[in-house]
Amino acid sequence: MHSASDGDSGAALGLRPSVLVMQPTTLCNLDCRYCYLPDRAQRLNMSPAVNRAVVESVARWSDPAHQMEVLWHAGEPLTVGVRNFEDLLSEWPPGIAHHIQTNATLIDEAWCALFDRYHVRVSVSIDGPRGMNADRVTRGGGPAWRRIAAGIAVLRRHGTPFHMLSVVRDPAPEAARLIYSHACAIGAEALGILPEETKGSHGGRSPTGKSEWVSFFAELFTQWRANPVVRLRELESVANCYDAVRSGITAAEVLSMPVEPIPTVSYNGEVTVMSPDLAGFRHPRHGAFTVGNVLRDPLEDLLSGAGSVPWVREALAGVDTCRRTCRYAVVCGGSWPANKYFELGRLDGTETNFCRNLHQAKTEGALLCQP
Amino acid sequence: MTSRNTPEPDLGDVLLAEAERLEWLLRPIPRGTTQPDHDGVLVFHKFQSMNQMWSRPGT
Ligand code: SF4
Repeated sequence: MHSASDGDSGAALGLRPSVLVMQPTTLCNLDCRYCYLPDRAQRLNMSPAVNRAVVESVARWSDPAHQMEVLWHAGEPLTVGVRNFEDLLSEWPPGIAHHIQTNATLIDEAWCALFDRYHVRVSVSIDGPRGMNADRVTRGGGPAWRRIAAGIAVLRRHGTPFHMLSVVRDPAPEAARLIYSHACAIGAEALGILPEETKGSHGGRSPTGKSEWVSFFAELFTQWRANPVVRLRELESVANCYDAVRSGITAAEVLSMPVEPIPTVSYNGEVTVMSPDLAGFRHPRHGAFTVGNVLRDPLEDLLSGAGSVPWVREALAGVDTCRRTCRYAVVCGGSWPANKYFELGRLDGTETNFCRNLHQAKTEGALLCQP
Repeated sequence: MTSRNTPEPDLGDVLLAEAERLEWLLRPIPRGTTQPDHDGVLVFHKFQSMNQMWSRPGT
């Protein structure tokens, strides 16, 4: 991977993203209690010009040897409607893998047919069985469960494979059992876990500690090992780290790895890097978390200049400190600027509740599992 | 992996010391492309898809 050093910090931003996030709208039709998206009540849709500008950049750097995935994410992408979404997708060259993160409530046969036509891989946000979705509510404050379940039923009827992404507030071992068995029951291909985060417009704070999360992941992995039918993103990430360690990866190699840029393009063309969760937010000193706009400059130019944008330099300094000082850097990478900013108030910080409860806990949880 | 600010043991050493247990735990995961002699990259961000793991750069 090519990378650009910012000169001050050892960590450098990669120039060839493996994932690009597109935010086709700010609007979400739900109002989940833990949601951090600032403009989720407003419909601000991505224009064809923004989409086209990104597609043109991607076509210029396209290289059959370099796989890139596009994730359509935030607010609820399906609120743009099937026709508008197809207009966006149809501009993209074949061979790009498209993913969508959705709350599932708007999925119908027409959406499934579109997912088929464009080979879109679907990930559904659902926290577990019915009783674990109390925080997922409609704009009127009513439970969203029935509509989520109905959307998943359509996916299953249509034979559309999907992943499940679960936001977990209470990491009791019983929750791990319930979540895993629900993922199996609904036929999810894979399951990802996100400890509830302190971010953006959501001011809540998870009251739980790392040891509870370690037990949670140990139980989740144990359940999976007894019946390994749904892939676990967090365990595969531990496997990824373990394979790297077995390969003899060194601290110097981790230190010098380019930071995944994760360019995130907002509805209006503004580009954020390193963390999609920063999009739409402002730093008191640095201003908006943006590196420019695709309507003014090609995306590849924005990426190559991003390392010298002050807030990005600060975030890269945080990555560098993480990689130099933390024993978990090989599993985590240290590039979690949104969590650092929203929890610690600074981009160049290191340890957060989020990293303790996810990266550190999943690793230690795996080490507790035994035959 | 060297950990400078903590007396805790190196994570890489811990993982290797627990290799037998980890091999048992991870056995059902298809890891055919993750041979230990690969000169590869790690994927850290939470948007990783499952096929985007330890692999040679550019592959
Ligand atoms: S686990 Fe936390 S402190 Fe350690 S590298 Fe990751 S973000 Fe930094």
